[in-house]
Amino acid sequence: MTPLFCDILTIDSVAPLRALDKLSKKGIGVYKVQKMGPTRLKLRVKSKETEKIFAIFSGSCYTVTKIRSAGLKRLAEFFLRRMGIAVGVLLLLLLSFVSNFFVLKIEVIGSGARYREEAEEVLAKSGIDLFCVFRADGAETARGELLSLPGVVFASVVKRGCVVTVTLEESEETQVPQRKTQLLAPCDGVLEELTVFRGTALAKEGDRVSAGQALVGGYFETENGETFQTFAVARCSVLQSYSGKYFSKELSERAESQAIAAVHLAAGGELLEAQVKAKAADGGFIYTVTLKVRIVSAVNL
Amino acid sequence: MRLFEEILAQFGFGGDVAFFGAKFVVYEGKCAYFENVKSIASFSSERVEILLKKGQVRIEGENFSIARYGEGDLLLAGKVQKVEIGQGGMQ
Repeated sequence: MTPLFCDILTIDSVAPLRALDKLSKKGIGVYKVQKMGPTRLKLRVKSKETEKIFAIFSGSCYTVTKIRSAGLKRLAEFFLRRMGIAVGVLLLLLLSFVSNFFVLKIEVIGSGARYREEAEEVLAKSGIDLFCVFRADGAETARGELLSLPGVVFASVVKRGCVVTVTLEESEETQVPQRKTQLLAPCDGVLEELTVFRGTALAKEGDRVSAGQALVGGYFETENGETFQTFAVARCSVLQSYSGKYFSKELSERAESQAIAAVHLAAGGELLEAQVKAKAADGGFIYTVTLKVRIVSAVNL
Repeated sequence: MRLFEEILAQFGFGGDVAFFGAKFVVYEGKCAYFENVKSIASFSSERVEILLKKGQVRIEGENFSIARYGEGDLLLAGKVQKVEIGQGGMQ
């Protein structure tokens, strides 16, 4: 309602209200009229009509005084008196607007964030780089290339302000564990038992085998001599002789039991036989334990 | 104000009343708007007298201030409690 650019005036007179009527007849509107006393009114008028008002009342019994500007005019006068502030504000707005076109930071987020270096290379090839103007077509090209990264199922290149955010998401599917295809001997020893459900036996019971030796191969042969790859399903048991030494300060059955237990712990498997020899040395006794253990191993069972 | 023209058209009032009589709208507790104002005879925060082109209006209330006055229109801000037209009275 009140004009944006206006001036605050006071009118002093014996009958100040008549001044309002005079202005109204001249087509000049007044706003926010307040009675400051029996002979004074305070009011606002449009700034462009102020001079006209002074002209109307010059030489009359009405004393018109301009107090100050109001509204946006006051703000404009403030900035005109302080041009530096106005120029600074304008420069700031201009810089903010212009800098919005440039890329000042690149972020790579998502489960595929480990591809940060690759993503930056792809962006640079598409013309999106730090301190360069952002191009929307380059972003689309980069997005297509990012999707070709291994395991990446989603890619997006979005600019907000002066930050380019690359989102890469990898497939959430769990990797299928690699199935063992053959049965290997768990240790050196004699193959006691070999049970083959699938695959081809490469050793027979009673054979002396070495640790890691293939006992069952992941293939089978047809009657025609064709070989088909598969995975072995088999179980074996190997008899192993294992020796170890144990030191004890005493020579007793208890010490002997402890020596067997300690060496068995190291050997593993099922204990079948144990031989112990004790020899005095260094203030105690060294027990030499020789065990026969059964080691069982299986594949895909 | 188009509202007044529409009301007049509805009731078919004569020309004199239509252009020179008292025309006003009161918003209770807020303001009052007057047309055909020729001059403001007196003004205070509790009482305002206005002369119309035909007749006069006396307004009583609280916290009066002239929000706008010009070209025959007067917007009086404040709490209007009583409006008297001419020699009669209307509340």
